[in-house]
Amino acid sequence: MSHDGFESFVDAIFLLIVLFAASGVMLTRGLVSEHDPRSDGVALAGNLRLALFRTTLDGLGYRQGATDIEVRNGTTVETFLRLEVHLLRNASGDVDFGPANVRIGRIVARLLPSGWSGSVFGGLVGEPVVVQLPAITPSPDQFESRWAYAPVHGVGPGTELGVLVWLSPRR
Amino acid sequence: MVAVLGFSMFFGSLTEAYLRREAANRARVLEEMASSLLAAVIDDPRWTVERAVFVAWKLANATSSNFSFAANGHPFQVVVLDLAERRTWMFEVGEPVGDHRVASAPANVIARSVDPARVTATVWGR
Repeated sequence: MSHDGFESFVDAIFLLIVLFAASGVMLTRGLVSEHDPRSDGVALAGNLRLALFRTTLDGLGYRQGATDIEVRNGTTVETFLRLEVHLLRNASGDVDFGPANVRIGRIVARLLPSGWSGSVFGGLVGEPVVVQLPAITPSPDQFESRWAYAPVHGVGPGTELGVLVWLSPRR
Repeated sequence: MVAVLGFSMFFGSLTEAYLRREAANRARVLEEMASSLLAAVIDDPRWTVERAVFVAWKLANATSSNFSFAANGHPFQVVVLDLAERRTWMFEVGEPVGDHRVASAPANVIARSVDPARVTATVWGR
């Protein structure tokens, strides 16, 4: 190869390298950051808690021993869950909230937009959760909204209710 | 030959980057519009007693034109679904064509009782 030919070849290689790098920069600048779902998750948890706890239901009740007990119609989910936590922690004998829990769990699922899962939980402040509806394992990457209430009889630890939401896994 | 190849690659990537940016901007604008539309619906005291708590009979008096300002002239659809009574209030304007974004929120509808509800706002745009 002549000297001129070699010089042209080197120039061409340099040009290719420069344009290759410039193309890479252009493509990188064109990359779009994905929408961060964290702000959505925090807002959703708060809105879900409010909408769920404001909801009133008729025909809610529970079974204590062999007795079926109905709470008055129009009881809010919030009030019912506070009662449930209180009774599960303090009542003597078996207390069964099964059918009411199924109803509340269904409402949680239906309030959520598609692509999200969630559950409502309750317990005494500083103690393990005693109610979780529906009873599913939350994702570790979850968003939470919780609220603390004064103790039912004015003594002892308060009650804490909250909701967890998380992005549903891809199917 | 090398110059043609190199410049083709460069201008190709430039075009690709531009198209991606444009698509992202369009999506972001639609997302913001859907969120604004949702906020306009759930915050309006004409049919809510507080944020995201609708009064059924007041909602029945609402019309699509009440929400048009928030969609900025784009086709839109707002659906309020009472999950207990299975009632739906739908407000829509325009032909739903092109890309779309959805904003949704849990809510309540006050009728005979306080029902769980879901509000969904969808905005379309090219």
